[in-house]
Amino acid sequence: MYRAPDGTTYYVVDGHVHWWDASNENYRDPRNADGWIRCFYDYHKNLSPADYVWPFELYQKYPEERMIQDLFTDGYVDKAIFQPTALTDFYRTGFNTTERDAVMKERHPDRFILNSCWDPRDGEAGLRKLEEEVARWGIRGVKLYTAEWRGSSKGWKLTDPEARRYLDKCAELGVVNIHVHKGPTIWPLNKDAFDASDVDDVATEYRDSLRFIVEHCGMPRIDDFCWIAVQEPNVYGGLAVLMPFVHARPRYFAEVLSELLWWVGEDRLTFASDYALWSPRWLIEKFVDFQMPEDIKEQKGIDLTTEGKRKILGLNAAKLYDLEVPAELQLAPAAPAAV
Amino acid sequence: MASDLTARVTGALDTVTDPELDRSVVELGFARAAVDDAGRALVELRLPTFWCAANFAYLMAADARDAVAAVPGIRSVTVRLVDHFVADEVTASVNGGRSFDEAFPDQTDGRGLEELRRFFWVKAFHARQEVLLQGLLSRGRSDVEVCALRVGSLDAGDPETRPYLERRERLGISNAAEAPVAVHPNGQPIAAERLDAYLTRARMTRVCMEANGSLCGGLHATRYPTQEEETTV
Repeated sequence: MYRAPDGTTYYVVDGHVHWWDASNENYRDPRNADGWIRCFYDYHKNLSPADYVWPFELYQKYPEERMIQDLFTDGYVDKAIFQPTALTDFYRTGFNTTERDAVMKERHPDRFILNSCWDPRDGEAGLRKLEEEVARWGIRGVKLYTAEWRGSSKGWKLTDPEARRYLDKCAELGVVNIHVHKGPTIWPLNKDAFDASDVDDVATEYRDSLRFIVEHCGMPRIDDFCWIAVQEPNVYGGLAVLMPFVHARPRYFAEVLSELLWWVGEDRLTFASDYALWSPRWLIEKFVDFQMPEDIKEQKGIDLTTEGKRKILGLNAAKLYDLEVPAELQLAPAAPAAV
Repeated sequence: MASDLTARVTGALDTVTDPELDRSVVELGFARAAVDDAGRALVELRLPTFWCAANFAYLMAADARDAVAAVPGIRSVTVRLVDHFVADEVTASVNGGRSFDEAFPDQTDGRGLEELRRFFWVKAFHARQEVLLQGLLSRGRSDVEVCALRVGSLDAGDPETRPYLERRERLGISNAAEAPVAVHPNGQPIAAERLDAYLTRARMTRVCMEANGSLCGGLHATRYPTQEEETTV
């Protein structure tokens, strides 16, 4: 819970956190493993306030205590959602696997929501594994990384027949929150790796059974994402990676957020730090402090109200994951309808 | 003499754009060139991340090669992509005159990069058109007047005019004096009653391209903090 200087309180769900191990000892494919974590580190350095930049060695692998402190002691977070990124071709025990996250979840059961992942290239065995995970941990969401390499395969699409079998299984098991990350490199390599049109297709098909949370709002194809989301009521935007713009590029933050509010709306956007890419404390403080510039309000007729901030920071994700929100942190009851 | 040639080479390189951002690779700091006395040019590409998509990296490398090779006095061009997950593949294929499909055998659908390139040309076209038309509207023209406007009556002194016309030309849209200014990517005129909805969507495309440019520029500066101080490749 975050209490702003003006006394307003916010329930906070961090919709995208990691507990990764990118230490040198865990490198399987040293060139790509190193390239991966250094790319993350550049994002971290480029968009964080100077006093929140970590040394590289800590960034490669951080202890449990540090994560608990950054999220819950200092970071105002009520619940954090683990989104795994396996990358087992790059790292010996994986970058951030469900199993690794589960260790943390079991030690802090009330703090974390454990999401899993699947890869349609795992076939029948992967479907069985998903069933076991749901039985064991009560999984409600998965993170899909369509661009993940596997041997000679450089990615897959949600519309692949194998992927549909998994989506069917998710609908059957109540794994209703499908978090999708788009990124390089996807097959075929001569197409746009960030193309999200497959989300459009499956969102229509599974409109009544699944929700698709497009991580990073499809960045760098936010425009294509908006165009899909405006037509598909079960498509949401995860704000990981966009949030730090509030500090590092405030004008772009305002411009992009105003577009997201216009096309997608404040009911379908969810806050996330992408920890340890960034720390939630400063993101939340600066986001609550943020005011939509007057010229944008005027030109686009878009504003970000306290109510909108409350939805984005936690109430929207609380609905997706059926979290109990204390009464005082709910939205104020709607005023009697004025005609 | 070599420095004069270097300036012309850099000028040629400056016409090469990052396809996603529609900005010059020189301005972005992604490419730089050196030329020796024998007229041999070396172009080095340094992108914002190790993972920048292979197809865009190839396009920039191949476009840089073609632009520099066309400079009078240049006898050979070598392009080097560095610090990138497919640095060797792109460098070898661009210098060897091999296509993207040949550079990544069995990893493409064999149809090249032209469809991808056009997809981003269209985005760039929308973004430029939005700025130009918003400018006209903000200076007092009505939607009907803007949609009736012909290319021949555009103000050549408006800094938005030339970039917009260039992006039309790439898509094969006529820039004849009597051609309409406000058009869809297929060259068909935009109806005045649809202009507002068109501009709302085009604005989204522009905002996203600008934000991406800001992110890529920032990541590049983080990755290569001392680039400004270095003198040569």
